[in-house]
Amino acid sequence: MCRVFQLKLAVCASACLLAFCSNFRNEGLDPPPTQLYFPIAVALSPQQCASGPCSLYVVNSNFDLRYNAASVQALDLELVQTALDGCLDPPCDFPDYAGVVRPGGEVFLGSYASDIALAPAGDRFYVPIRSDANLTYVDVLPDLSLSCGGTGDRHQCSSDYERGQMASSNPRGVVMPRDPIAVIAGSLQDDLEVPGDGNFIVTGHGDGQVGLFLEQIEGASGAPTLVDIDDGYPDGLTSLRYDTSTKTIYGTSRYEPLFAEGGVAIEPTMMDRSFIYSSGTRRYIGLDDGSDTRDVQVDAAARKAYVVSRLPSALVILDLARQAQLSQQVAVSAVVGLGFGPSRVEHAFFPQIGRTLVFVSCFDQPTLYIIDPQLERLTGTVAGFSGPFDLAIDVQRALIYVADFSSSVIRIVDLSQLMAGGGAHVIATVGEERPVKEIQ
Amino acid sequence: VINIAKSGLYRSLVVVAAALAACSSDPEVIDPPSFNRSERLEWACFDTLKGQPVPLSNCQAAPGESLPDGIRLHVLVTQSARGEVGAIDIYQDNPDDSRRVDNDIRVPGYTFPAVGEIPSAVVVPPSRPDFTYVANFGSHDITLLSTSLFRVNLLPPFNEQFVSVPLPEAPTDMVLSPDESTLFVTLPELGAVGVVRIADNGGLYAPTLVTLSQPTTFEVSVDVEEESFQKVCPQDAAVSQPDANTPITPPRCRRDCATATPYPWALEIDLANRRLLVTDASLPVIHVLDMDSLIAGNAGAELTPIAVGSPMLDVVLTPPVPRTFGAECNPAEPGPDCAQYLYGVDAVDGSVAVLDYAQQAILLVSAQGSERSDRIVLDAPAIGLALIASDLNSRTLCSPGSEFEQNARATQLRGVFIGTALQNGLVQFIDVWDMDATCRGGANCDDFSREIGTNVYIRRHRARLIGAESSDVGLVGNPSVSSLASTATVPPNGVTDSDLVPDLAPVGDCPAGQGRGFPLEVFQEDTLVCAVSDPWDRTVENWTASWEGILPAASGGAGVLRRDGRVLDAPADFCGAGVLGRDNVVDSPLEAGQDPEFGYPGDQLVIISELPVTAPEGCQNLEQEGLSGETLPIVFAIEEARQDALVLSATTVGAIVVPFETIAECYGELVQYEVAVRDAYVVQGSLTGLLHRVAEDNGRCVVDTQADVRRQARAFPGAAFVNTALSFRIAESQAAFPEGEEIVINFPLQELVQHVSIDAGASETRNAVPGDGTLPSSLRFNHINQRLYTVDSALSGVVQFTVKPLAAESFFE
Repeated sequence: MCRVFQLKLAVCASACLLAFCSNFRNEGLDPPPTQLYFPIAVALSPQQCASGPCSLYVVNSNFDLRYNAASVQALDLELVQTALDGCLDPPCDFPDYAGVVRPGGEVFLGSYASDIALAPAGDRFYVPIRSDANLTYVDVLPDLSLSCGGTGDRHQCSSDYERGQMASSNPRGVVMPRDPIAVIAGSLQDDLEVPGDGNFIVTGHGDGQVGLFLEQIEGASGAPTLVDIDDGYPDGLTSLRYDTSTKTIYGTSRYEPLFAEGGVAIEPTMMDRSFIYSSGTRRYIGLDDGSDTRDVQVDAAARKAYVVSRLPSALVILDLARQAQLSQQVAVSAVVGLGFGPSRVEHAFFPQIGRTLVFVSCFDQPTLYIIDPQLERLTGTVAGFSGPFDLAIDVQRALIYVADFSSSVIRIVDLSQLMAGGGAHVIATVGEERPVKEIQ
Repeated sequence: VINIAKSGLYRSLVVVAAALAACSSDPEVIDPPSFNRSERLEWACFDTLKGQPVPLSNCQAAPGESLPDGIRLHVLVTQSARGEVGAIDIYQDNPDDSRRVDNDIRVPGYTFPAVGEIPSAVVVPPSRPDFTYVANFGSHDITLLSTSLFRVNLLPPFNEQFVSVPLPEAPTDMVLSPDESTLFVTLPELGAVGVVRIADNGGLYAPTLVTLSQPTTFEVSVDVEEESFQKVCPQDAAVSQPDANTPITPPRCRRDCATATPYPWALEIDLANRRLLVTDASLPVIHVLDMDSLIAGNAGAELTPIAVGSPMLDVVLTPPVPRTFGAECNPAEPGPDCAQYLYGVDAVDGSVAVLDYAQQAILLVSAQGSERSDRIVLDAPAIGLALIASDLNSRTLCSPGSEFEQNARATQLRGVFIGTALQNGLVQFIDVWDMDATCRGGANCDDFSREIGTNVYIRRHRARLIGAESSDVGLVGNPSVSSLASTATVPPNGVTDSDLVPDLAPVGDCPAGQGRGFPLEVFQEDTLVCAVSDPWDRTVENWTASWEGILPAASGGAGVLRRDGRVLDAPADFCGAGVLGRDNVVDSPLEAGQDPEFGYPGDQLVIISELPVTAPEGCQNLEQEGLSGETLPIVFAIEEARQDALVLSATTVGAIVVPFETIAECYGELVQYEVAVRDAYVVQGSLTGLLHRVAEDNGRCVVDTQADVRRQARAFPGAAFVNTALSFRIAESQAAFPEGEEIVINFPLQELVQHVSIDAGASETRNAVPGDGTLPSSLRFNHINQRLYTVDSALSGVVQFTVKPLAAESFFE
């Protein structure tokens, strides 16, 4: 049933895309202020406030191109927590979304924003834009408001903040490939042992290309600059993740039963000679058949990777330590069955119970699945979504923020009872529900 | 709460979907959801006219007869995502009429009785079926509900459907004592088994716990069956024998054995000895508990555990079966001619272990040199097991002229078999006692009319096999040689048409365990390729020998060229990838004629980075075109391979000859690289991958001469190549291959037999194909209706199979 639903969405989107394909930058309708509109990615700020992370960044994709821009909003999580404290009979609805968005906490960027990656210091984040293939970066100011080159509390990102489109900006003359669908970021100094400030950013593209941006390029004033492209990742690339312990980039594919591996090589004395590479792919053996994987998370401490698979619908747990001993195979440690349409995965260690838990959103069978990776089995489910997609785990507050793509709201899942041996439940909906069927 | 919310959600989804469909010009038929992440199975018998459960024996029809009107078997299925248990009403006489039971007709789709969160096991007492007991992993309790609920049309309100008894932790399995007085549950987080007495009125008492002791030893007792149950046709076909002296893998724990503690996971009952067998998902033992003591609450219920070498996820115990072919075994009085086996799924690698239950010894089942001699390895890791005891009431063997003869074939499961649900969506079978063995292939291996091909392989503790080809084919198909320009098959005499394409030379006598592979004897030519002939020891795959091919795990993108020491440093494991430099070979204790690596000049490093656009002037001379217009590679000889570094030659080798320093200057420090073999072919299997015996010793790569000499990665022109799968000899080429030429010789191993398999998601109405995402969650054989049931958690379906013959009968989702 939901596949039908999704198909209709896709048809609708395709039609819209055709209609607008030559005119992504049309004057069109400005997005209404502080509106959730097909939220596709969420991320927590590293900055800490009284009860936990200060902000939740929400990327709205403008999926049906109704407006002339996508947007990113910064939610004040202390305000959200205050609202939750007043919720005595959950689940509660908080339709006043604008009331929890920070002052100066909204910027507009190109349509079809697809992902978000935060700089480790939390002072910047990066959003790949599919409509005109660029990497837009947004600065987080000391007061936690957002800035990307425009003016005013709520502004459109300037072209200076849209990167990767100028071949002349790099010696290799490369431009960002089309269809950027994933982004990861890391610190050059902490993750790659390169002296100095700045980050490296890697974009993943649907055709299997990856791009490397660096922030230490001379003349770029600290802005991310595209320095290299590699086309050695599998076609249908769906996600990227960085393993800090082995400095390896992992990738998943929706077309091939492959788990991609690669890395970045930084030339400290001539940064623009740095490059990104693929070191090969590993094949899933013994699955039926692993040819559609959508997301991956790395548990560096446990040396495990959690891969979201749609064939079969499952969380595939990889043993990275054993995998290092194999030449061409993925080392599958366990396969935990899920519902239809598993989409995104996140994991976190909860000191309250001394365990790591893994959470997987299922878009088609709208449920959040909870898996104990040590037991390698399902330990709970959470219902109450329309189309859950990306999620962010707030360990301190024992909450999960889930982007409900189909209803254009943020659902908040309470984990406090789970920590006490009970279940997890949706306790609040932030924003005004806009079911897909109402989209014109 | 989750169940109510989900029910509501599904209703709203149906409404949304209906609205969408209504707006469409091409209305779609919507099949409302029913099963959702199905996992475990149980049986119940109902008098459907009264809507009441009746003892399970009522559903056992006499051979050839139907059940009385209204009496029907039901299959209960846990729905782990929604916290429900659904029922399937089985129409034995007409499987097409079998159907899911909708327990609330007011709600679109199918609604089932609610239980707790994440049900992990369900039990209906066979003779007192008034209540159903469900262990719930998520809500840490046992739900007690009236079994008659599975037949109602309108469910009572949620909170009136069941009562529950709390457990102190999450249960993973639950079984019922044979006297139906007590439930046993595994509580892994507590390292305990919970004992829950059932009151006379069906209610439950509070659980008592038996905490399992830490075993004093993990030492495994190993044995080899001197004479086992087997039939092989043709009678002279070579099959390998396990060697009792084979060193077995040391005991393994899920994590560190020194700190691991008991983690009870699954349960099995030894009816004859009144013992409860408890698998452990952490320790390499099976715990043994005396059931009478457990039920009585006496101390000392725990008996000596059985060491099995690995933690086990699932376990099944067979009934007594004849120890050898032709032995007489009376299960009521099992004597020395009877044997009983315990099969378990190894939690570490998904292989299957088999234990002689009386001897408490792990049996060696594969030949020395196999990856695991003490395990049965199937096509993919096993997830669960089911005991298939088919036609066991009669125990009548097939004999020539008997009523069973006409159906005796590989897909006829009559006797005792172990069904094994695999992670790849298939179910495969392990032979224990094929009661039709005498008739298979004819009494004297002279009648293959019911088989595919002209082979019959039946061997206890091995995968059940079926012929794959009806015509005569060899162990190895036609080898072929491909180059950049063309691909040609190798003729039976091995001599190819071109001097630029290598020939195959006679290999001589095949090594032990291998038979003539190519060409077939009918060509009356020398043997060019040999291959392993034992169908249980061979992997059907394509082997390739690539001239100066790359070692697959030795490529990288972050090589750093260091002028100091002339090395390439890289975050790599070159020894693990099998790399050998010239000095590594010289320094290894190799002997000519015995060690194939003797005299090898070492591998070579190939730089595959493009020349940087910022390279100094003059470097562009390094970019030269090869045979087909591609840029010629920059190649160094490897003088010494270390764990994470390669010492390189002073100048490049090959078409472009320049000093190391020039390359370092032109390419900068960072390069992408590959490691290729030199003046040799790299040999690898499409499934096996690369075999080698290179190990790390004090940071340097050496040849481990203690390892099996057949673990070879390189085939040298003119020399015989022998590995654990095949052997051949590639003749020295008449002319040197041009620079950049890519010569690959293919050796396709033929599939003469294959494992008997069924797709856990298959049925007549559902076209299951590989790659459709099947993931079996459990497998169970019902002795009442002699049907096998598979549960697919990913596709949320239950499939009913007949076993005589093996065929999908009904599919429920």
